[in-house]
Amino acid sequence: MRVEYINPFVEAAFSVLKEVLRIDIQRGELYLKSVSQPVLGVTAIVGLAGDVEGRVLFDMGESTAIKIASSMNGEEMVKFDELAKATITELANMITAQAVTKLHELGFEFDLTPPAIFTGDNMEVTDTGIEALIVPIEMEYGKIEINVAVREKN
Amino acid sequence: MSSLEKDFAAIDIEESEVEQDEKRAKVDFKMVTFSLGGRAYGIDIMRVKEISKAGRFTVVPNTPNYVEGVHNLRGEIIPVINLRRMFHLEELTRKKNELANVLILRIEESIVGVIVDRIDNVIGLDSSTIQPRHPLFTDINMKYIHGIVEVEEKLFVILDVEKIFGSDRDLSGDEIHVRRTMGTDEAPEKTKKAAPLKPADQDFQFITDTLKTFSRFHVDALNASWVKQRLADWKKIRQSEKKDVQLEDPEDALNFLIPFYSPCNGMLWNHEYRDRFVSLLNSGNTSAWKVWAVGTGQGQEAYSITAILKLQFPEARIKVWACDNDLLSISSAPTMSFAPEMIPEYLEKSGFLKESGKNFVFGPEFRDLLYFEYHDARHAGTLPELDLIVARDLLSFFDLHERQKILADFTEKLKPGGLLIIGEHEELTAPGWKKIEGNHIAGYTNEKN
Repeated sequence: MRVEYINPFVEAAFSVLKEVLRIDIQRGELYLKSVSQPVLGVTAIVGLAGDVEGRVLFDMGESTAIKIASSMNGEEMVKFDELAKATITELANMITAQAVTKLHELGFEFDLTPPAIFTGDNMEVTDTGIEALIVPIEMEYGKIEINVAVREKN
Repeated sequence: MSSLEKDFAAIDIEESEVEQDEKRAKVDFKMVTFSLGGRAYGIDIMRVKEISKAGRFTVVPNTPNYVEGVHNLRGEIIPVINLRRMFHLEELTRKKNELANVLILRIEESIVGVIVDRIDNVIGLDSSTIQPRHPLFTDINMKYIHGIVEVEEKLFVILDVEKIFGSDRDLSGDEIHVRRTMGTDEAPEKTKKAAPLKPADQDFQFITDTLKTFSRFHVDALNASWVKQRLADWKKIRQSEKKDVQLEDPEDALNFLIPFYSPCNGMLWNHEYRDRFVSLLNSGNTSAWKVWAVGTGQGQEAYSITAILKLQFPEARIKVWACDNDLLSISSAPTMSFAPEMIPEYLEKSGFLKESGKNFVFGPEFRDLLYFEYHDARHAGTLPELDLIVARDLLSFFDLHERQKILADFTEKLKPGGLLIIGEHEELTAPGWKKIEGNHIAGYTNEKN
């Protein structure tokens, strides 16, 4: 993945999460992965198109997702219901959109596809022919792994 | 004794069965097969004196770690070698009274016992079906392999026991010579005959192990000749510093490896290296250059390649993908600036660099020719068909399995006849690559069709 793409995603994730949750957020060490990887339970996906092709996954456990949704809606939620799903989807959209805006400023044309959300146990994601950048984010609600796989259109 | 005879009887039966199966085939080579770490191996039956089960070996101090001990074979004291340990495979723990499977080999005048996982049977075959050794087939050092053979869809690696255990182990004469003239206080003359391994071998083995541990540097056919030469120099240096030859910490390993790196590592390429690089380029190709610089670090290499190609082929469409798996290094690459004294003359005049404060940076049009990517060479990636791959000093830092994968990836991505440049002190023996003679920069062409 081009190095120019890395920072916009890291910065966007960091600033959006800080802004909407108003809690302390830590970034873990970035790394690359290319084999199939387990999904924690709740995964929002946003597709990327334009100069590049790829997707961004926001991966978290269900309890983390519920805590984030509770905080963003200002009410205590106990179940991962429709409202919670919509909230996580929106969060994914906000982060990706901000990253894409930053990339526009650098001269890269990226478009977004509407986000989708997957939930379930024992899920796995496999990309063929592309490696993913993992941005781990730690906070008191739990852990979010942002998984970015983008490649140039040749 | 009686159990031994039974073992032999069992082998005889299996042998004859196999022979019947292959009645029509010519049988002029027989091997005793055994398994080790889940793989099947064979040893020429002429080298096998007998097979045996034994345990409770007598430990001998100051021997290499793979020497399990000595064993009393009907009054004859023989050394017993643990083959798993020798080949750096994971060790099996034997229960207290459990006996080990031992192959007793006769090598030159001496007799050696070898512990293996399981002794299978005897297979007779036509020696012309034995394929030559191939560095990619196994995790055992290639020089210890006699060949590979497939029998009933099972692959056997035939070991060259003379090379492994014989006194004439494959070592450069220089190294042994150096050791002797240095007059170490260990009196190498004495150990020479007693042990099947020479001290120089142990040093080489130890260096191999420690380089792997401290620097993830894998010694084998790719770089062994350099390591041997370096070891000889290293011994002199350490002796003069009154230090032990062995590498004690990662810093020692780093120091040992300093001369390994190719010229102009971590700097813009100088005139001499540029000329050597240019002499390798096929001047017939002038219209397009698609280049992949793998493990490019902070990017000086990638900038140099791009600039040299642009100067050499001003009309060509040039695109360079440069990657590294060190995030910190590669992140600083796109914005790297150079102090005036770091810039060689051919670049000064090129006009590619623009002033930025006291230093110089490459201009935006030039930078558009270059993509810097955070990428791990072991992972999949998509690139268009390439004309040139530059992977200097990269392959030595991956183990055989990873290296095999990376080379397969190179073969796939590179055009037929495309160029691969590896490190100055590396030597590629894998099939499908042809060394370009006469140049002092290590270039290979891709021979795929």
